[in-house]
Amino acid sequence: MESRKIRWGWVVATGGIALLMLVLVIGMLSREAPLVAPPAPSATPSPADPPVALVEGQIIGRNFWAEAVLLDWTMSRLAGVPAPSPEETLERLINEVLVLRAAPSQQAPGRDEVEAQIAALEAAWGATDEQVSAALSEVGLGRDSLERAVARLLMVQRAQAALESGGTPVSEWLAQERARARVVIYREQMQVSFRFPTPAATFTPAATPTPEVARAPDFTLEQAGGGTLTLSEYLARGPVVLVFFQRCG
Amino acid sequence: MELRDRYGEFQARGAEVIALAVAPPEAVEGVRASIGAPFPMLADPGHRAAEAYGVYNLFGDGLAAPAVFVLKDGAIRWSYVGQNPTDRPPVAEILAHLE
Repeated sequence: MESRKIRWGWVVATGGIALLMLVLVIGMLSREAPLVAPPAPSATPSPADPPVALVEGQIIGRNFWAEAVLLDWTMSRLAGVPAPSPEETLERLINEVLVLRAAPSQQAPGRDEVEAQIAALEAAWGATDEQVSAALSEVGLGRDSLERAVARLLMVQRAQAALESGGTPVSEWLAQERARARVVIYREQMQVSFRFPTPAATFTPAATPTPEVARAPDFTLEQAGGGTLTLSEYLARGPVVLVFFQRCG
Repeated sequence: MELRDRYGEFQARGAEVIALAVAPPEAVEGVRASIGAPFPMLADPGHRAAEAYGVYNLFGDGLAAPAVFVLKDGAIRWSYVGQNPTDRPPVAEILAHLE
């Protein structure tokens, strides 16, 4: 818990695009944003969307949290970093609610501003808009989810800046606020089995000793320097170490 | 480049190293020439091999994730798929799976 607070605190204490990227990557994402929906969770629970947390009387609903988890996963995948756990995502959502409560009267960002931030992120990821949309649709989300998340992120950043202008480093303030605030987490509502697309499996364990013997797919490819190479011909002679490398140059 | 420098240890175990990238042949040739790779390097511009091994576009970048597969008797004996573009297994670990 302490390390999460510190990391978040470090994040909010930094500035600029790097901050935006990092914050997005580690998941300051939610579906609630001024573009579409009112920013604050409501006071009335719905049976279809039970609360996963109660923060100073404000409900963080399960749907809201689940979408944030899926967005976190997708953004992390695009950025090539490990995704936060669903619990870590909830911790950040709680922190966001606290920050937005403390500086509530922030102006909602315009669509141009949101689009500019998304473009900056895509540039940082080296991904096209189509690739980002495709990655989102793999977890059942639309681009509108990303737009709302970025809009909310900008709101949170403004709230942080407002708090900082009061002279208190946000990281310190947040640590105190978390200790003080009435936060209830309903762990029984967090028993959601997230269905990440199949490639996710390759992210989870760093080393994956293949549990069962899988046939090595054969291929014939062009060789640098000329000619072609067929894998099965090499395998007939002995073991092969296949090395996929990512960048040329 | 540790893989190049320790290539002899792979050969000593009777193994061949084959490197692949989702890139045009001329780009791969450029890399091969610049690092002086003693092992074959293949171009997989249509990412067919990368897809067959489940490592294509994991980071949404249209490339293969860095990954190593130890193949023996036509089967995948061990694999390591990087969690980010620079995540690679230590050469010693690969060699251990050739024993």
